[in-house]
Amino acid sequence: MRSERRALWLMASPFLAGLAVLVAGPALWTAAMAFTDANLVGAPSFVGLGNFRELLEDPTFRLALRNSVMFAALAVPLRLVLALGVALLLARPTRGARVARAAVVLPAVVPDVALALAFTWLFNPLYGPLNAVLGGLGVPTPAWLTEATPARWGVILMSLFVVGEGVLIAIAARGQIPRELGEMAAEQGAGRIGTFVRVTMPLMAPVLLLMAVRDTALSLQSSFVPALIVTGGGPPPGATTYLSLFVYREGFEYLRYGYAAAATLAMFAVAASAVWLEYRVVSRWVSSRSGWSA
Amino acid sequence: MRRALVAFVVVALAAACTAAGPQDRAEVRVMVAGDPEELLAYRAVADAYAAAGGGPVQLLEIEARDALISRLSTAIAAGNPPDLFLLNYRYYGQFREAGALASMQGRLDDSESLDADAFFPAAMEAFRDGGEQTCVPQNAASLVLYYNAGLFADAGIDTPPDDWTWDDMVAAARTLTTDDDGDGTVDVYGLGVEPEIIRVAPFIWSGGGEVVNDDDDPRWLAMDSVKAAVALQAFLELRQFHGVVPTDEEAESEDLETRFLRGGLAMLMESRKVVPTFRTIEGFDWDVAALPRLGPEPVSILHSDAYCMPVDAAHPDEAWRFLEFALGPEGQAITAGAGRTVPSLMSVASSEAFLTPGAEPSNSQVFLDQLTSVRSVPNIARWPEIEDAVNALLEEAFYEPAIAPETPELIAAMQFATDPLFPGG
Amino acid sequence: MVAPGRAGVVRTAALVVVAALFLAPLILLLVGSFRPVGLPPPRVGELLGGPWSLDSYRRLFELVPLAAPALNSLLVAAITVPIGLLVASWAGFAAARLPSRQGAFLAASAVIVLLIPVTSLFVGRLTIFRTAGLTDTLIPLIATSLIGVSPAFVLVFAWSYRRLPSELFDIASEFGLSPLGMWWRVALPLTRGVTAAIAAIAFVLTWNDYLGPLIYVSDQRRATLPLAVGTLAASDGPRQPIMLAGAVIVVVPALAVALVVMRRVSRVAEGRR
Repeated sequence: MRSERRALWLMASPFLAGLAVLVAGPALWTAAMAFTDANLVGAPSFVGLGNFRELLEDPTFRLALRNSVMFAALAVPLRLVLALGVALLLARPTRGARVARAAVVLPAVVPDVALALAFTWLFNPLYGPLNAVLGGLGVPTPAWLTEATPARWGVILMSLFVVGEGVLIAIAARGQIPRELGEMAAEQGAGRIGTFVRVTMPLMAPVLLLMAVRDTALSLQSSFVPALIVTGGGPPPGATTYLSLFVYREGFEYLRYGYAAAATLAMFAVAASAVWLEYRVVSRWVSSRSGWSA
Repeated sequence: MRRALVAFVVVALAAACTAAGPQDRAEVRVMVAGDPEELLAYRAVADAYAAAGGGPVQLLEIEARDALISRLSTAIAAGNPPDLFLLNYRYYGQFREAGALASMQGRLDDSESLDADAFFPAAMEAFRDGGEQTCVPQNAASLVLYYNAGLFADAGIDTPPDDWTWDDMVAAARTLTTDDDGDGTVDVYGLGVEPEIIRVAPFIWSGGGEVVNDDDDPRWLAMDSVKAAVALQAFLELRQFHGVVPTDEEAESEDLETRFLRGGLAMLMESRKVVPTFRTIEGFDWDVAALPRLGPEPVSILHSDAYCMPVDAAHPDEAWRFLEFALGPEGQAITAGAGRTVPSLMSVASSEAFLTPGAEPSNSQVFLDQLTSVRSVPNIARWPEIEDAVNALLEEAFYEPAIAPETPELIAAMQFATDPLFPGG
Repeated sequence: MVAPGRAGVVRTAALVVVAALFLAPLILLLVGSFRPVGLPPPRVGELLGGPWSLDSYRRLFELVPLAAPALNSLLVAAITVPIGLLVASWAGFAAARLPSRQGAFLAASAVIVLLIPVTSLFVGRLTIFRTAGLTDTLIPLIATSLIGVSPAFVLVFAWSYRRLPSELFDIASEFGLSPLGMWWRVALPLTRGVTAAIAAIAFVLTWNDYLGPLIYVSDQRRATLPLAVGTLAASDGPRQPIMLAGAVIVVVPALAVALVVMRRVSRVAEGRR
């Protein structure tokens, strides 16, 4: 038994080595810089909690924080529901469903920059197909690129187009659930929806949690490319400036790396709390259904 | 199948490791940013240098300014700096104040091929630190007025003369702003200009105002004078009152360069960088003119990039030899040939390599004439932040007069936002 | 096939709408790349019937050298994806099979890595690569395989191995199989759908990576496709078709991989192994 355990740790060791060298070391260095005035190109000196004090009073940071939290709170559940919905709706083994599934996955393959360019067209107030269609239907046409609320929804809309990854994982995960369980539930008189809620969902809970965690991390940290290209962080100033964009600008454009590092720590704290919350919610939901034990 | 896959991975891994090849210690690493045409020109300079027996040059090509700053700063922080890099003077302060740049004064004094007096003084001045030349400018452009000669002819008005006033320009722009098909939307706008501080500044200066309190010791934004406010007001009125520039929606839908390209813009304020793209225009004639003057004298604003050397460059001597070539007559002629930049070396700037008789714009001389009266924004460390903060407010005031404050309040807001960013703030 | 009833028609219509909606950005990308350089963005009516030319592709090949970057990209993906899968799969297997505390520790460390923004790792990683003298090689790009390309994959693998009936492993153990043997003979063959899905995502992540090559690779000769084409990204409006042509060139191989894997995953999910 002990030898088995040792063998298992040996199997995990490449990952742990990569983690120590490529993540832990660099991350700790950056965390240390949060207490300095590092600018990357000169020697840093210690400033204590100065950066954190400045963050508290920085209106741009506060706005970015609010934008990020709002974005994650809206985009993560929407993306999850969409990925799951698409995966289940298109689960039927027909040719049409297969084609539609492929169509849903494909946008996730396009590089961020290219997708953002496509969206600047979709949203284009004068030439864009989106408003042309909405206008044709007699629906009000939002100013996607020039007003705050439509711009924020535009960024969320963009994020909904790249759920392909989640769909792929959800389909693969569903394929792993033993068919017999569903059949048993059906025999006991559960309908399709009942089977889904009582059997499939709880069994997929860990994967759902995982997708939510990954989405939360991505929403809070790396979603700045589309926002940067399509809306430029505005308009009006700051409306679509998210934490990730704030950190990037402060650290790598304004060369205030220490300040950016402090903001990064704040960002990490927000993401970690969000993930903790998701974990609590999912495990409570699962245990209330008791069919599954972690 | 599996075995074949494993074998393939092993071979590929070996290839990736050996692909590194032996490192040539004397190779100069030069980091440059620019659009594709510009990068072609830098490659040509590097090739010419190698052909002239100068040794190997490794270009580190980057596509945009922000990517340049991030990659450069990361490389310096990790102890892996390039030997030379091209930097705009508006972003030079962040590096200079951190002590990241090596002085080039000594090398310049000792150089047999380069003479400090042979470069445009305005550009040299922008990269000096306490009397020492830190970087040597590679180009020296300024803001000019591009115009569509066909639209001027159609409207029956004269193309911009050498000495043009702001009011003349606005009057022409009003005439040239037309709704040809009468559908209620403007088809051709008289003027295109980005609502940015570097576009407004020349007119503040021309009108006798100042952008900062003291160019040599900038402590605050000094746009609260009457003269500066008048200039700013005149600029804002282009959209609010005269309606001669595209609306926010139109500017978001189609950038000014594209609009000019397809004939939807009669005049455009831009630097030299749009020339390669505009040379593809076939439908109409176009040229450049000097910026109009708002006050008694015309003033333009400097656009310049320089070669800088990090203090801990691995091969400073080799790097300097490349710099001597790139900024010498041959290297400058090659970059001038791309059309995108104005050479910083005066002899090449006034030669046919830049003035290119037969190629548009025929009035390239304007770029050289303006250099005698250009001014620069200050090169303090946090200038990029100051610009971004001011531009955000300016853009809102320019396009959204309904929610924007009056000019005095706007200026007060700009000062409030930028005060902490100035030295001692 | 049975003649489709009303429900069938509605379902087909829904499928068409979903497919069309998600394909719209791709179609725009493709149409845009064939637009003549220097025209304003297409109006809706022009989307399919507007003027088109191969100009942008011609200019793309003039402006950007693509052969060497394509080879580099291929090399990086060919090494990173298999090694990354192996690392993630092993770590996932360990997390699934270790006693619950230790397994949870492994999973938690993967979650924490997931939460660390990649921008905060740039300087530290570059310092390591520079010290090791690797900045002129492709190795910094392959290095992400050591954390399984994305730590999320470790978690997916762990979940999928946990789902397997534990009796299987008990039997395997009785037959004297080591953990490595169980992973190879039992776990891997029973989770092919998940492995294929992760392989595809890992490929796409590696293939599209722009920041990695930008920050860690200083030698232009080691540029990957996204980096080479990225020089067009900052292009102003008139040059957009060239940039889109570049994006199409980058995206086609990734699309092909995604489609192939999609078929395989679908087959497994539909129970047609």
